[in-house]
Amino acid sequence: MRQVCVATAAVLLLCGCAQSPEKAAKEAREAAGSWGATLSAAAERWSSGDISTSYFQSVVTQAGTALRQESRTARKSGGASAAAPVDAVASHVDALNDAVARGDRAAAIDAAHAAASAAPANPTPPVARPQ
Amino acid sequence: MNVALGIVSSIGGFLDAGAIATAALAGAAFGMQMLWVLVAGTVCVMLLTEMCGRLACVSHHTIADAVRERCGFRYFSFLLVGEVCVDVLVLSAEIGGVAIALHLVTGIDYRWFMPIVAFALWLIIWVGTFDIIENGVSFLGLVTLAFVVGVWWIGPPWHEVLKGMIPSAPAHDSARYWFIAVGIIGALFEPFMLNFYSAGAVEEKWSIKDIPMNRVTAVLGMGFGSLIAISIVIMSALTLGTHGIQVDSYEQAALMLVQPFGSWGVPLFAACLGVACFGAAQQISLNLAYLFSQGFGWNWSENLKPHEDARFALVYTLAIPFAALLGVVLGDPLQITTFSMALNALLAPVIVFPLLILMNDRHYLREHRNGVVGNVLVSAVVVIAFLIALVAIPLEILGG
Repeated sequence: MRQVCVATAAVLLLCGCAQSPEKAAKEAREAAGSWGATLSAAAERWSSGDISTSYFQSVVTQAGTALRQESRTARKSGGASAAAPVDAVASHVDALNDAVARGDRAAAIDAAHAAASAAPANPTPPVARPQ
Repeated sequence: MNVALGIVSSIGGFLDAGAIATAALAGAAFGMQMLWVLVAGTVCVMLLTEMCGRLACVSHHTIADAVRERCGFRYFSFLLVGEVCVDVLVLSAEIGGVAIALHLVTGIDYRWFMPIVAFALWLIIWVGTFDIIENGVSFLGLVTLAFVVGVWWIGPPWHEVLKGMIPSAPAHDSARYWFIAVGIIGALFEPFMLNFYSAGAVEEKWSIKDIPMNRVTAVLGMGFGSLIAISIVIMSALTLGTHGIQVDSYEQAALMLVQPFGSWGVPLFAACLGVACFGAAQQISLNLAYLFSQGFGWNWSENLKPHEDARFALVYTLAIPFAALLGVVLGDPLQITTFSMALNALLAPVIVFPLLILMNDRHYLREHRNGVVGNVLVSAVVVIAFLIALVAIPLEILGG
């Protein structure tokens, strides 16, 4: 019983610990890059008619929500500098929303490409090199 | 025909929100490096499924009632509490998966669909028979072959696919790698699937003469489901990971079928997700009712009218709206799914070890008991997955 209590306390303690600033910054960069690449790919597909307007709008809305949440988390653990790449991508979301509302596919591509270049993504090779 | 039906049924049982989400996550984050986890897990789940069917064929017991009889009510109640907690969480993820599928094609907030999906799920179980549950959605599950067609269409580098089947440790993000690995194992070892399979075998009155058919069903059916899960990893690796897109939401995952299928891509992904999750949600709801009914000795069968097994019907009638409500409160179905899959890996030993005891008991299995290879292989994978889950879950909560 004592061991169970000690193990539970250890897990709770671990869970209560804050994330390191470096880790927070790295995760924020990765999330920003991933959402930037998502917006770029989705905008190109919307432009070519491969995805519907409602789905593209969902992607943009989801990106906005996820980036806001990621920015809050990064700011809390790593300060404003950690959240900077996320905020840079998020700053293009409003332009994308406007483009969708107007049905302006060229403007959407421009805004999405700007979002993608604000925080370059880190592509995963088909087989990541093992240790 | 029986074997074909078994294979089709397994598509519904094998693929669900957990399998789709963990495979998509794995492919986007680590390319094809995690294929070996799926292969090892598939071999084990084939063995486990075959054992559950064999137990039902020889002893006419489901896992739940055999565990209660062999290990006593105290152990059974421990298992019941654990499985109910995980099942309700997974049920909420599956209902969320169907709601997200509807959201992907309509653009309407998925939370509006949660009560509608929950009601449709309850209604089908309330008025349906076991055959309808088993075969209805499972036939629709054939749509998930879209992932296999997508792989063929894209033409992956096959030597890289083969390399991914060799076990290897990651060069980066170890905590995330092992968390996804236990998620994949958890998605394969879902307790509901094992108990549902044995309960289904008892419902269909399988006997010793069905043992060969059970073996073929377990191997081909689970192999077929695994083929689809492997295809999702490959599709995700080639269409999302190589562009730097990680899977943090189903909206991102849906993009994987756009490259091969164009404008059909998102609707196809939504259909795959919706059908797989709806099938799994039916199985989990029934499994919860089976667990309580078999454990407490109540009348049970999906083929009976609800007034003939009222307490059986009451369990799923309460579980479905509760899980839907939980899904709305917790939010983000993808997060719920990945976390509940890792919890499955933690719970696996509680279910698998009593099953192994039963499978080696002459009283239940007579001359059809387990061999050494099956016992050792299943024990090893379950223990390793449990230990990794014990370490990886707190690390993932910590953020690595």
